[in-house]
Amino acid sequence: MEKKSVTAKGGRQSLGEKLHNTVVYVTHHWQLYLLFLLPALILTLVFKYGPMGGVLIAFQKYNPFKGIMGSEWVGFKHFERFLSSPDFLTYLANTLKLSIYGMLWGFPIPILLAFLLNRIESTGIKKKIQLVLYMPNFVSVIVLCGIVRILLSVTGPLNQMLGTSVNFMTMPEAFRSIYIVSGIWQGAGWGSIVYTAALSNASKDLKEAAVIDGANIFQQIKAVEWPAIKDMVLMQFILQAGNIMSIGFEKAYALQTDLNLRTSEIISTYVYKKGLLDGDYSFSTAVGLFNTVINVILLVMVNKIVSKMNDGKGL
Amino acid sequence: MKKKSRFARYSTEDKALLLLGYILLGLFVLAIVIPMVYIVVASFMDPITLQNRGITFDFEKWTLTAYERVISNSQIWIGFKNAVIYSVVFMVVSVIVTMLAAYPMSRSDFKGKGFFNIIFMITMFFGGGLIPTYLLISNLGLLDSMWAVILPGAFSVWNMIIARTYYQGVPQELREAADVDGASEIVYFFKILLPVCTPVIAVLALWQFVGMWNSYFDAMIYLNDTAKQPLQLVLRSILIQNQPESGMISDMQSTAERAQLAELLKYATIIISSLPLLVMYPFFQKYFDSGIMAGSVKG
Amino acid sequence: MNNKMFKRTMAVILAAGMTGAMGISALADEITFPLEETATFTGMISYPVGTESEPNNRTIFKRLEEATNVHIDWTAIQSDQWGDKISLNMANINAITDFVFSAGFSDSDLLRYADQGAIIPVEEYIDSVMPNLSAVFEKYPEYRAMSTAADGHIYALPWIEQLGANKTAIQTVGDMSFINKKWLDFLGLEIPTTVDEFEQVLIAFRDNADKIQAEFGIEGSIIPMSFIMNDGDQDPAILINGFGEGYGDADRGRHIAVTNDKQVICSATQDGFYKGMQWLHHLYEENLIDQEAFTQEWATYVAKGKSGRYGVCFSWDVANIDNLQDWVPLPVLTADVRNLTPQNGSFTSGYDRGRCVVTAVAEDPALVCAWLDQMYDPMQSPQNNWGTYGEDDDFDIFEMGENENGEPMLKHAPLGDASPVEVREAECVGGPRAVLDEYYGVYVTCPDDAQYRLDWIEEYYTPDMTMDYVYPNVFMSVEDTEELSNLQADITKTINAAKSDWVMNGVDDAKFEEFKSSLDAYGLQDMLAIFQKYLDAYYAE
Repeated sequence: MEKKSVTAKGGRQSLGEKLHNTVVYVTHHWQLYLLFLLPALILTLVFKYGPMGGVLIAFQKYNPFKGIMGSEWVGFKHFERFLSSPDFLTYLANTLKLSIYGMLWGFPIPILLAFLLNRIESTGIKKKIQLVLYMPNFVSVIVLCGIVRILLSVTGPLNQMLGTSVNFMTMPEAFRSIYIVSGIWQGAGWGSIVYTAALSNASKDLKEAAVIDGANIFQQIKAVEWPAIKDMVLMQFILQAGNIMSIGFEKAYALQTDLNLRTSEIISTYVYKKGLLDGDYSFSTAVGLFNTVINVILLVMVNKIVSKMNDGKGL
Repeated sequence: MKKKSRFARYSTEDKALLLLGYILLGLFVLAIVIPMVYIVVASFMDPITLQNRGITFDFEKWTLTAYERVISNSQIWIGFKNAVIYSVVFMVVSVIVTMLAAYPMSRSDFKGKGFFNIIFMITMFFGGGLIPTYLLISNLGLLDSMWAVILPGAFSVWNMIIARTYYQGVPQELREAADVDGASEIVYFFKILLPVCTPVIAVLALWQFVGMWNSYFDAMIYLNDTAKQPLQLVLRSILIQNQPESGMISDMQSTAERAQLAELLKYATIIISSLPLLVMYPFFQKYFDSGIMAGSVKG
Repeated sequence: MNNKMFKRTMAVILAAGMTGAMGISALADEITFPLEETATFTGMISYPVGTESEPNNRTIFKRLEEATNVHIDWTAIQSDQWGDKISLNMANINAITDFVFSAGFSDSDLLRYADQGAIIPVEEYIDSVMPNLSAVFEKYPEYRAMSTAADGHIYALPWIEQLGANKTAIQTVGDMSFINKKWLDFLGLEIPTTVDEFEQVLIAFRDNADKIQAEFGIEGSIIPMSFIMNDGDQDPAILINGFGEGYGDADRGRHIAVTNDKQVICSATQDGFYKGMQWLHHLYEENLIDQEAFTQEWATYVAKGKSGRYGVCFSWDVANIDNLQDWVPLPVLTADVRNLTPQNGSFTSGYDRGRCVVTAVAEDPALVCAWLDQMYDPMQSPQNNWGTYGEDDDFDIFEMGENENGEPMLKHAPLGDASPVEVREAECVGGPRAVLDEYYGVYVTCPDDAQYRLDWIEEYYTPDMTMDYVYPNVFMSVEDTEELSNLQADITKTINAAKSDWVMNGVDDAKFEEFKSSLDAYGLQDMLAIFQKYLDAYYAE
């Protein structure tokens, strides 16, 4: 990160000078701090950092009547319990596979859609298509899963089309595909919005120039469209990579059946059942913490890798 | 029209590629449209007929019962009203806070950027968890208040990053032009930068609106007064089946009846809860692809 | 800590101290209703979706307030949100109330809250200020035993709803099997009594599907037999009861049974279970079973049923699936033996242990308990359970009449077109109550839908219940409850998955052996040992 110093001399600055520069900057640009940043900062400190002390209950046998200060400390007992559970590896594997495959298949599609949309000449058609593409995102998770179950039922449309009567929802092999495909169905169009918005920033002049130069589509993409969205793509990639372990439980839970648990039980559904439904908050917090730590490690790793590949630009 | 000449510029390989692309797009669109049509048609059908025969376009078989039941349910309208209020307020608050905060974070000369970056990034991964957050809300006296649902999630670091990235993509010339005119931060931001950012504002606004519209969990745990419940929560109460306690026969009948009702209303409620979003969307769409950039740079 | 929280915490500490130090009997003398001075408590209650959200507007509570001069500030939670919200409320000192009226806590919940000091033991109050409940316990001491935890305390006030007793209790058969009499008559068939006859009947349904469809104008295909595997009363376990030694798999949740030697066994590892599943698989291969029987939801199941497409189905009451005219209960089928294993816990009929609790923040627990005792009054309990009389608007569940002796008795009133469920939900309040068998005909009439079901059981099923014991409703210690719950999670999952798998895909000796080994690996023997321990203790008294 480069800092412009007000008094640029050669050589290093002393602490006093740095302090001086900072004070000057801050007083000069006070609006930046007070007006722009403050609201977000307050919200963050109050609602995100405020409860953070609560993480401690992961190391306790939390008793709400004694509060955090009065509850008994059990150290890493909950972590041990989780990590030594016989199915821990299965849950971990299921979680990772769901995320990674999800990303593998799901990540390029919004980009692809954005490119395709960009190539539609008629604005009227483009807008209509966009409307359709964005529609699935407007339904909530519960509704989506309801739709999925209806479509995949033994006597439902998909089976009718294929002429079979397969019960997809009971097949462990099918769960992942169902989860990922429905995720793409719902989110790809919507996810392409950021890229579309970024593409709209692509300088028209550059585009005209490329066409005049006789560039074909691939070359145009390389020269014009890709640079416009590159930063956004990398940003999204890093953020998604950092969320690999955080697959929300709602959708997986809604798509689970007795028979596909082998692949559909992931860490978050396990935590929900064992922790929340049984009121075992300490346990669920502990697992949440574990999840977080893994996520952070992944995030840092991915950020480093991407930064190296992208001349130092990362998060 | 220029159409013909535009396509003419493409080579044959390019035309083929384009065709492939269009087909893909078309398939994707179909994949979305067909289930949607199914749901719409199903909402006009009696659940028993639907179960036995599948959907039909035979209008004779259609019925408005489901919609009648839904519309006559006053709780649904209350939920509707609340959902609109919460979503609009959330959208406005969130977009304002996010767009404001992203600005300093996007400037390379901003002192303390790294520090704030870390503060924000940490919250994306670490959190107190459900109970501590709930207790905080309770201690702040926000239980059963709309703000319990709006404030905690109002500032989204993810969105801030998107806005920040967008700001960084804005050409330097704009900034330099403003400096030349001696504009202050505030003037620059509101008069020059924001108007250029309408695509990202529209996107974030829409995202936040939809996010709040479709959410129910926070409302469920923080709100108790039935008059304050948003639509998704009302729908959930209609659609969710509660397991009866085995052996307690008074519960059996209730469950069976409730299940019948849920089946009848399922599709109609899907439509009703999604329709407003679909109606609102075109309003936002016109901001997505503005080519405003082109005209705003002097010289 | 703010002032309110401080007061609350002090109340907790004081309550803990006082009950020991002071001795409660002194309080008992002072409590008669109506109180001289209005007392106010706080309470939590759930209410059915779409009904009155302010409990004090319900007739029952209005009358109670007048009669006792006790005002309750309710925190009312909609029933579909109850499960999620109650644990949050119990964890929030600011939100917790003096008592939780419709807690419905599980055994582990009760023990956990007791351990945290969130709820208080009430046995001393029962003895001193709760005459109505004490009377119930005296008539039926087993209820008191069932309510007492391993540490000797009673942590919650129960809900007791007796309908029949022992082998005639309404809960003995949950997943009742029903057969379409209309079709049988049409095809000139007799009600089957053995598994082979049953198979023939199903085959007849299948082969004559076209004729049946034409004769009765049925939309949609004919389904000889349907059920929802592993879904409570929709599960077909009753069908295989006659295989092997006849233990069946009546406990569809825990898969345990009790032999006549008072030994606890796992029903899913028995020979009978194996053969029963093989037989079901055979039926499946013959296309006699609904393809969707393993995954369908209640709504789908009912939708198909209401169109009259089923030949055989399973549920608590066939009226929910199709209608009462065309169907009759199907008695057990003889296979190797003829037996029906009643459901575990059913001999002591409807009993919910953790229905109502008193919390540590109650400043005057004796008064709270005394007030709650009003719910156990023989005229009050039926009302809390079903509904009330004498409301000016709309329909009431009851009207006040007289019994044979000329004493007041609640009679179920005609409802016209109104849905019984809707009226019930609008009027009843739930919470702790006891409706005993001897009340019927004295304080209240028996509800119709309960009566015909009781009659079914007595006529069709009780004669075939040859075994002596069912697993009773025991209250285990914290450690055992937790251990059991951990073991059961995997074991139940495995068994349930196996059921669906075997019926669809078949099972052979090798698979069955592997299945048994995996259950042992999951700790099946330990699980049975825990059950055995409490069974022995129960019968030791």
